Amino acid sequence: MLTEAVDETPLLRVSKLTVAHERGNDGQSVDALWDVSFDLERGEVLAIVGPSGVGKSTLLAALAGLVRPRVGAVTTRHGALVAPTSRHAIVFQDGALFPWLTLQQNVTFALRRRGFTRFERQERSSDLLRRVRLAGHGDKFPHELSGGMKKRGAFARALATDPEVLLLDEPFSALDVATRAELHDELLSLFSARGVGIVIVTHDLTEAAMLADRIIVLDGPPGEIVSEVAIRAPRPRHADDTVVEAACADLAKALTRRRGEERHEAHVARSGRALGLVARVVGAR
Amino acid sequence: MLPVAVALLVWSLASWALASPLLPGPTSVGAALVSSLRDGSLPWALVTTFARLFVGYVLALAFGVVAGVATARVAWVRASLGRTLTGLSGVPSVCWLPLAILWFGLSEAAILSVVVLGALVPVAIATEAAVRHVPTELEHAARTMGASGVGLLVTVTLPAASVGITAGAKLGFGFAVRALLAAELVFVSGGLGQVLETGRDMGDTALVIGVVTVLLVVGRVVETLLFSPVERELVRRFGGAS
Repeated sequence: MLTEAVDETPLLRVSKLTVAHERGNDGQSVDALWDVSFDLERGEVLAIVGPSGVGKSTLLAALAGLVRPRVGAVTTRHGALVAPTSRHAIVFQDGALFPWLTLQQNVTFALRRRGFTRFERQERSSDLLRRVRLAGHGDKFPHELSGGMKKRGAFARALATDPEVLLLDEPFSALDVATRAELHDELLSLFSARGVGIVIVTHDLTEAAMLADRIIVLDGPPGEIVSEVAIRAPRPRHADDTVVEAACADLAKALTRRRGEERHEAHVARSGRALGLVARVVGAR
Repeated sequence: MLPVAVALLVWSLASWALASPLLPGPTSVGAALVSSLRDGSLPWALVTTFARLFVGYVLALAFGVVAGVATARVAWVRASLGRTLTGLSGVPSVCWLPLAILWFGLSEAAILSVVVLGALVPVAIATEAAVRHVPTELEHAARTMGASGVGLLVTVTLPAASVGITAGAKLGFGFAVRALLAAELVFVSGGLGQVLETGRDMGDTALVIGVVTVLLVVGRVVETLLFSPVERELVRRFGGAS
């Protein structure tokens, strides 16, 4: 009973998160995110969409413990998140494999601080590479791998730390459609099927609707939640499924509605409140 | 090898045609080198110069990398040292010699400080630029894998910057040789610089040309044995044309 009760607590509880960005020379800071709150459950796939520069990557960095919020907190099952932790793995757009290490060495890097012997690290990394279908490529350097292979290598490295939460920053852009679909399947089977919570940042609405249980729409700057869409349909989903198309339409509407308001605001600002416009323009940079 | 052969041939023909003591041919230069090898003056000078070069260069690499990393990463160091480094790169290192002599006297420390100062600046500037261009994703990813502090610097930041740092190290070696030879020419204290000075005093053109040839060969050897293998390895890892 006790373990079940523990399992009910969300993996992440984000409450009233406001994150400031240091701005260049004058040391002044501008809020990149504003009052963002949500939960991430075990095994859940949460997508965050929104226009570029809206603070999506900042949000992800905050969930990784890489930046500290100005207001609010990220709470995990182990307490408040105040520093990076190996329980939260992050995969960046190009995979961010270390270019001076072989694929296998990249994976063992993640195992280094987990108290394994050299032999165990070797065994485990080979096993992880097999799981992402990269067996036999361990001796290659990242520049010798294709985009999809790099991404799978990054998945293997993320798996190595045995994370509770996987954070993905635009992971599938710049890949061809077939590779993308493969990686979607692998992402779900390797991570969310094992209870890992996934937060995926993307500007691709269709991708968000194909993968996610829940989609949060950010707009700004500063980025704040303007809409939330839940999709209760089994995966795998296809881009032309009705649920996916309907969700995309909802998302697009949420984004354009906001755009419309913005145009209106800008008009108001021009006709008097110039300061508001200036703030918005400066913020957008 | 062909360009070398052609150069030697042109040189021989020119010295034969001019028949002047101001342009001795390759054979006279070779003879001068052999005789200074025999009497022990050249080997001793080589050892002296190389010991200084080695110690000075290693110190310059160490201080240069530390200064470069600090300039890239520590705000108050950047504010104070950032522009100074660029300014320093405009000061020929031998200009520090009078000051070094005033401070350290006619000692090895004076020569060494000039070599270190000369080689440190390009190493520091290259390191600073390389560290600043390390993609933040690499460090962020490493931090989520438990790396932090000095461990992060040594296992991620410096390897990620290694291509740029190597370029600076190569540049720094040239600076170190130049600074050292200039110092040895001015400050009579053994070494190849002094052999050059002696050759000039005695009107021994063959010896002067011989020493310059030795320096040329040494530069080639260091390039082949030290920098080329490092650069090949970096290309193998990071990719790029070799």
